[in-house]
Amino acid sequence: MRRTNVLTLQGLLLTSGTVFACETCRPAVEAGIFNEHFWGRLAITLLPFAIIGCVATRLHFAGRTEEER
Amino acid sequence: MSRMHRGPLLSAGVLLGVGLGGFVDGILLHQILQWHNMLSSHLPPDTLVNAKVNMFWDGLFHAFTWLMTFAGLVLLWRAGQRTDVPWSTRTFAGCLLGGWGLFNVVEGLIDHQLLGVHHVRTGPGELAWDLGFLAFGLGLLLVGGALVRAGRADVTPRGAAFRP
Repeated sequence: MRRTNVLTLQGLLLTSGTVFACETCRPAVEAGIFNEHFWGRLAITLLPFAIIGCVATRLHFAGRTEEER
Repeated sequence: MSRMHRGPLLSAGVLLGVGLGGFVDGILLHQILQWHNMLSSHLPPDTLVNAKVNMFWDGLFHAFTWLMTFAGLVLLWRAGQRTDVPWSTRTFAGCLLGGWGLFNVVEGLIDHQLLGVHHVRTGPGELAWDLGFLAFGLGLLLVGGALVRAGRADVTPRGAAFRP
């Protein structure tokens, strides 16, 4: 499910207007985005949000006892 | 009286604070002032292609920031429907400030200090700008934490404090 979401997001981004904005440099921009660094850069961009998500999850359940869960 | 739970309001406020703080970073520092981009230390935006590649990653950053904000709104709406969640302005305001501070601290430590993918303002004195960004985040966390602690005294659920 998560993989499907990632692929859908990728597909949307690939067909978005962003990469069409510069007709002459579009191939170079695509090559600069979707290269061997893509997944590493995605992980770097996501990492702070993942950590914040963990903190928010802990806060959400703060103070709940076991039987209430 | 059943036990009150602040958790749903805390998580909603923190996520909204993170989202709003992230938009301050993205809109003010990336776009208006153009001090940095997501990958500007790895890929300096000194050509049109490099600038557009950075723009793509800035866009993804904004997309995740939007998702944080949306999640915060959903959680806030759900918290407002519960009778066991105290509707505290102090708690919520503290979480907004704390969330912004949390964003600055986490993003500052990971992206600026640890990975060095960008700095607040590249060039002479970039460390001072990075440390200032962190200090501002810590200040927001402290002020937000104090407000959240003060909000412990608030136990009234939404709507109960106001009578038409």
